Amino acid sequence: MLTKDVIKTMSDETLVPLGFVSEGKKVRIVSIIGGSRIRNRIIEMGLRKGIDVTIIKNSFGPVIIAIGQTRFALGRGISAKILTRLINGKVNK
Amino acid sequence: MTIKTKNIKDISDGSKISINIALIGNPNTGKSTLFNALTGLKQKIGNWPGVTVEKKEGKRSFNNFELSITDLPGTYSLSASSLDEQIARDFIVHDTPEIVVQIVDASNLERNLYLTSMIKELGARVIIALNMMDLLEKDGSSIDVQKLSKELHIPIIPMIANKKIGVDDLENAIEAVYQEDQKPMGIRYSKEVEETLSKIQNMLATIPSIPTNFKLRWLAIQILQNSTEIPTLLKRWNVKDTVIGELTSFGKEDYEAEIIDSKYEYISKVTSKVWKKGETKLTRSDLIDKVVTHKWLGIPIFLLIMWGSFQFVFAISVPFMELIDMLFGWLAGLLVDNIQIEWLGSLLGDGIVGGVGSVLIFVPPIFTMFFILSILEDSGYLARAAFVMDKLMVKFGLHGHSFIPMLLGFGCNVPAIMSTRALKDKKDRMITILINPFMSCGARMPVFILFAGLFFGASAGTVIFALYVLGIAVAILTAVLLRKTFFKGKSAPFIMELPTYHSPKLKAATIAMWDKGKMYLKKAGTIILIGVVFVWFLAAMPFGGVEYGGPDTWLAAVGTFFEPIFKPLGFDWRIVVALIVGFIAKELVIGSLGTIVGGGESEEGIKSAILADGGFYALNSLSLMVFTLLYVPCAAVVGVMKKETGSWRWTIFSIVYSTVIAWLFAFAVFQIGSLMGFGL
Repeated sequence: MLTKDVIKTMSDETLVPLGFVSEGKKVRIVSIIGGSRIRNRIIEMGLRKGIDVTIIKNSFGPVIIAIGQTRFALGRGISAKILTRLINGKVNK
Repeated sequence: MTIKTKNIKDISDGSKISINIALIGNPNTGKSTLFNALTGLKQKIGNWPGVTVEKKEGKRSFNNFELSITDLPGTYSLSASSLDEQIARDFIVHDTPEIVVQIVDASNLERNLYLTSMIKELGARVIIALNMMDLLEKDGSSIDVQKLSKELHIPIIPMIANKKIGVDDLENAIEAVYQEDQKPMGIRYSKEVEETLSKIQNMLATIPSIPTNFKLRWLAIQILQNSTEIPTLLKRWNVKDTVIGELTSFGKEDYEAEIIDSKYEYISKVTSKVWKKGETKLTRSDLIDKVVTHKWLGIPIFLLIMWGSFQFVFAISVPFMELIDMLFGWLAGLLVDNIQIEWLGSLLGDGIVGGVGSVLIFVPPIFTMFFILSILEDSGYLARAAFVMDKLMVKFGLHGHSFIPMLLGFGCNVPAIMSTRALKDKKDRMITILINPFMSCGARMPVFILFAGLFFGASAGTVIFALYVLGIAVAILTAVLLRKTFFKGKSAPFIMELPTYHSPKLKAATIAMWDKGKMYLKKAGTIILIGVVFVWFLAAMPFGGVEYGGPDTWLAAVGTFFEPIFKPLGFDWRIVVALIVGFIAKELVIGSLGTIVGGGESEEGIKSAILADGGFYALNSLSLMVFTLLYVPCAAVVGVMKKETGSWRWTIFSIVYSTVIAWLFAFAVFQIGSLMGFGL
């Protein structure tokens, strides 16, 4: 989870794994790391570079994200491998 | 309306022009709803993996056309990384439907069009049914449908499938598109890829055994990205090994990512011209999810829903069970008393009516179980159950997705095992299949209800609940064991779309209950009937003088032969026979006990006969219940297991393993119980 201290040190350019973004934030997917097989499958489901994602829930178990009106549950492992950048300028504390 | 000359002849014959149509789409786009709207053939609307895993077909007639519509599994892609995708792709490749109707979720255009690009690559004629147009305004987005249609060279029909809006337009589009050629999508790959593709294509063109209607560009793309099944396909056309080697040497895994990217790039370019994206807003579904998937509330809510479902099943079904019991008891008595030929009266009364009746009595709980499962699926809760259980499942080397087939196993293991087709990872899928029989299916419930009710009185409910939990525990232990031995490695990442909650539709649930329940009825009329007659026959042989079901019959001989193995579990030959017969169908355990112990004409009759018998008591009936829970699944499950694992080795493993486990657990129960003084 992002603590306030961590957020303070972050610039707009810092990459954050999806699993570490707090609820209600909007991020843009920058890259997906991990094996090509898995990566390709994720991309095919619509989670790819340049897509904006809103974090609906991130507290316990899988993360729930929204892409438009679609909702996904992502396991902890995979959400650590999706690197994102916060959008809408600064992070609101 | 323009009709081509060739077709006018057809019409003058009075025959209709038939068109084969495949219906395809991403999961949760309303594909089943559209299928129902088109065919009138009722079928489930659901979201769990495998809702349309079975090949479903329907017909629709309009004007002079008859459409044969095949509903393909819901998929995101046709890369054949799961069995569902493979089924969908193979149908388009090999059955070459004249038109592929793709249902597209208007609010998720890009991802849906990605699938379109793959269908077009297969050379199919496509019509897009752009569904959920009514939801577009909600988040302030809009689509210029005409422009999009022009860009893609594909007719697009705006629809609201659940209100049947747009069905007429779709008919018109089918009529117009039929027999017309469609331009391919304008996707171009990088220079390197395109050059290699044309090299491969040129080589393929020289192979005469490849069917002429086969899309060579698609085949070339598969070869380029190293698709694993390409060598098998080429071998089927008797392509020489040296040629295959040469072709596959073009392949490189990195190409796949590049090809996916190029497709999306093209789609983004097109959609940016026509699609105004909306803002993501929190919906009511999201609010429900905050509660249902809550850190502390999630699991209690899940357990509450499960407990409530069980209560509901029993509360609804008990009055009906009593009614059926009375009816069959009366009928069997009538036959035995009034038929002059004694053996015939016994066959009809004791054997057929009694045996089938003792199975039919469990129709009410099984039907209500299917009803509840369907409500859970339709409402969208099942996906949340998978979510809640994910954390636990990860500890056992699986993930939340595997939990859905486990839950479905409470109904029947056959469809549950089939639903594992949506799992992408082969090892995950194998483990999920192999542990499924430990999830106690509806057919095992009768044994529990009867014996727990007889010997455990007020705590019968607790005993039954404990048996279900034991089943889950053994399933999980087995999963851990398999993950550590034969299926080493990590489970595939957990990604699941969470469908929007719907209020469950009573009609859809009733239809689903009937569709699945009728399999059980059919079983009662066929395999169970035969089994019952077979048991009756063995119980009455050899002819003349032996007491029906007594110790001198052939049945007793079979049971006595195996009795020593089961003695330490507290079973005498009669239970052994019932268990052996139970392999045909688990329902037969009670049916054949009824035959052997007597009083087989009604449940009440079996109960009093068992109580009067003296050979049954609390401890050995508990051991019997444990054994019934865990031992070899019924013949139908063994069959589907062979089909889905594609391996006799694993099927036989499952049979042996489950029976050994059942023996060990029942042994432990009986021996420990005896030591503690609970024996006879």
